[in-house]
Amino acid sequence: MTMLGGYVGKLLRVDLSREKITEEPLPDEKILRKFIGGTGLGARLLYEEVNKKTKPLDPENRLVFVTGPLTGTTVPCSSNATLVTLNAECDQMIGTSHSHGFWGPLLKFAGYDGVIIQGKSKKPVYLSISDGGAEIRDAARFWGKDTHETEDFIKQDLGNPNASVGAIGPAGENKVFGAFIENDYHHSWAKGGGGRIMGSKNLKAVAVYGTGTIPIVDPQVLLEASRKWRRKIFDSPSIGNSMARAGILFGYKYIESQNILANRNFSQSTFPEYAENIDRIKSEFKVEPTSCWACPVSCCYRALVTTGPKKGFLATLSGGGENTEAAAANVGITDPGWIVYMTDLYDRLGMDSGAMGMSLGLAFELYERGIITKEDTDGLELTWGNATAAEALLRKAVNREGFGAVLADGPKKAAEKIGRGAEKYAIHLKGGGLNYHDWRAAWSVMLGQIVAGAGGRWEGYGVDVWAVEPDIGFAKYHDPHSVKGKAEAVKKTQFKKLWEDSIGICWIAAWGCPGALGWAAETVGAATGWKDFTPEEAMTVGERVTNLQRVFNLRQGFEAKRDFEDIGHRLLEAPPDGVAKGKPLGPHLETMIKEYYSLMGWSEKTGKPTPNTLEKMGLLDLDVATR
Amino acid sequence: MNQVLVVDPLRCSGCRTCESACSLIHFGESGSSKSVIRVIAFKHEAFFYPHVCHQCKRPYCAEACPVDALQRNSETGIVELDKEKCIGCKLCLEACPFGAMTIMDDGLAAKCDLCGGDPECVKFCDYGAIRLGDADQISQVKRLTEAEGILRAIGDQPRKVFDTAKLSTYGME
Repeated sequence: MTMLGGYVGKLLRVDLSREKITEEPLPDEKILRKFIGGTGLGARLLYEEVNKKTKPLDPENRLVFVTGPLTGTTVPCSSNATLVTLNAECDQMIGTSHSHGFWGPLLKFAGYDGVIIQGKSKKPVYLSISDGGAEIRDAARFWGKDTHETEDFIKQDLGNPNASVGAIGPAGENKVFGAFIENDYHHSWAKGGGGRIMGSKNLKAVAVYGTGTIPIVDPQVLLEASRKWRRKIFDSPSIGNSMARAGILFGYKYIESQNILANRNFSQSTFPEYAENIDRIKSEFKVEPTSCWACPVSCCYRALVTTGPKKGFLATLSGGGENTEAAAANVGITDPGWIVYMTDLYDRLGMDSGAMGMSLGLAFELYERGIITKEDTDGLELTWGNATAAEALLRKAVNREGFGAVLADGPKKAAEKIGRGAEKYAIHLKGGGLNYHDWRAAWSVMLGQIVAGAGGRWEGYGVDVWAVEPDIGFAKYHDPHSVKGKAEAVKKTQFKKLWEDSIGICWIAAWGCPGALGWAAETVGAATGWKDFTPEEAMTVGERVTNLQRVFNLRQGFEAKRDFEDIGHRLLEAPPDGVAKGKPLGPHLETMIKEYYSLMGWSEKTGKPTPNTLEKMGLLDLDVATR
Repeated sequence: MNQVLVVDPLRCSGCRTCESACSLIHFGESGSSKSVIRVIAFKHEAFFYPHVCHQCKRPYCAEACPVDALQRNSETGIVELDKEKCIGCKLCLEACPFGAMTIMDDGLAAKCDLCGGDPECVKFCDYGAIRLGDADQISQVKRLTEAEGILRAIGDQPRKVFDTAKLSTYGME
């Protein structure tokens, strides 16, 4: 047998109930070539690991962390580690999330392509993975600590400042909505509620460190292709003009011009004061971009607040604007110091602002509308922009205290508990969060978030905003508020993205980057030795993974009607102002979803992949009916 | 004229692509342990120092080597290692004041050879933190940078080129 490069060849299995750690080989080459790694391989593994009765917080649920064959190489942004598990926010769905920094590469250097964690520990523990082994260690001392403190304490405990630590905060411990896993101070496995699941297993953190290497079959080809690819990334407008070097802090003119700045629980669609103050972060504070493994972009940044009420605070944030919009703009906060402070607070407490931020936004709006009063809110005045009230409420939600307990399970459940017509104002997709910009003004992204297989998240994103995708035939932007071509664009970008989510890179390396699809196929071929790997095969992998997620969800009991109905009403209404004013997506949604189903080869009625589609994708062995 | 590898920690983002490129070009594997360039990270300070061999003019590693496996190429200035001669005694490791020597898993020494003059790490540093160039040219860039800072600070002040009356201040009369 020829050597298979890119992979290091082993999976680690950790059973927390039995305190047993074992190693197993990766699935055979046939499976690997079909599903590669990351989301694809993770979903394939999880499909076998759980059954249709398993619930997210059951000990039987698995945390499946998987890298890809490119993770830990010179390929741009090859830092990816994907978490696949049952979705703790969106019932009956798979949950996927990706984190970056150094955790994924270090896991491979330790000798493992992935880790499967199952069971439930009797007491708080953390897992330490290092060269050729792992250890379950006591974490009682760290319980209650925030994610950044935990990272520091565990590095001290291990005596290794160069380890990477993925940790939950109080949010995960208390299993609140949107709880995530934070690593390397800046990054997180954010979507799908992985932090809740870790909390349910009494697992505080997973630390990794390794000194091994990854074999590459054709290093010359890999080096050459990665070098060309790295240069080209900056040609993508979503990166060159928006993400690079903490670029989102320069990017708000564009966001405002497209009216996609999500704010005040979507009750508005423009917020010039917020956009201006984001600019002040860059010009007034001490901002330093930081990077992940092999990243030429550096979208993440540290911001030392130098003026205003939060002077002296150092925030370590991830790139992009979703986190700050959801943490700050969504409750009307505009002070630049408070913006970075609140965003960092979500990270430290260990939760996705793009999920829990909507609980807070809902509470503020209900208060402003007089639907709830001080009597409901434990005396907090939830007026737009009241930052101290927002912080107090967030801490209450994390600790499930008082009114916070009402919000702790997300906006959909909070609205049900509050009643009084609150449902109208709850922003959610299938009960979970979304990538937090105002997609009412960018219909393809909204459609993509709605039909995404793992709940509201970046899968299909079309070509309405930020970048076009010349590699898959979209050289021009689409009209963001038109039905035409949306389903097709969502389908194709979803295939491209889920392929990229399966090979070990961060999407930032490929979004709108001309040539990236070819280089991705070429580098996967060079790393593994599959020298005939083509861009077409890459897109087929994406299509297969899209179908696999669907099959997975259907097995867990997911019904297609949720694609049409389980959506916060306001997301389908027209925004009150801006370029999309008077243009609601709602009336067109059914047509668009049915067109998407039909293009996917799924039944328009049941949303199930037809037997023909499953056969084409080589997924017949996973048919819902057979399990 | 010697080409030297010069690092600028203020430009380094800590991405460690250089380590991967170094290990891939020399060993066909990706991983810091097979790289002779190492990024030293001070994460709390967000300060990163790409650590390289300085290709010393009087290399202690070579002086310590009992079998002459290490020699400075006077033409290129590269301190070269002859793997055929190396006996794996690790004396070079002890002699190098900077920690630039490495012992690989074959038990033999390894060190930076500047990839024969076209270093892979430089090609992969998108931040300009690792550069290869003529020593004086590299210093000239730093001189310029410093001078530009001074220009920005006092550049709008009146010039004193003709202000000979004050020369006495400097004892130059």
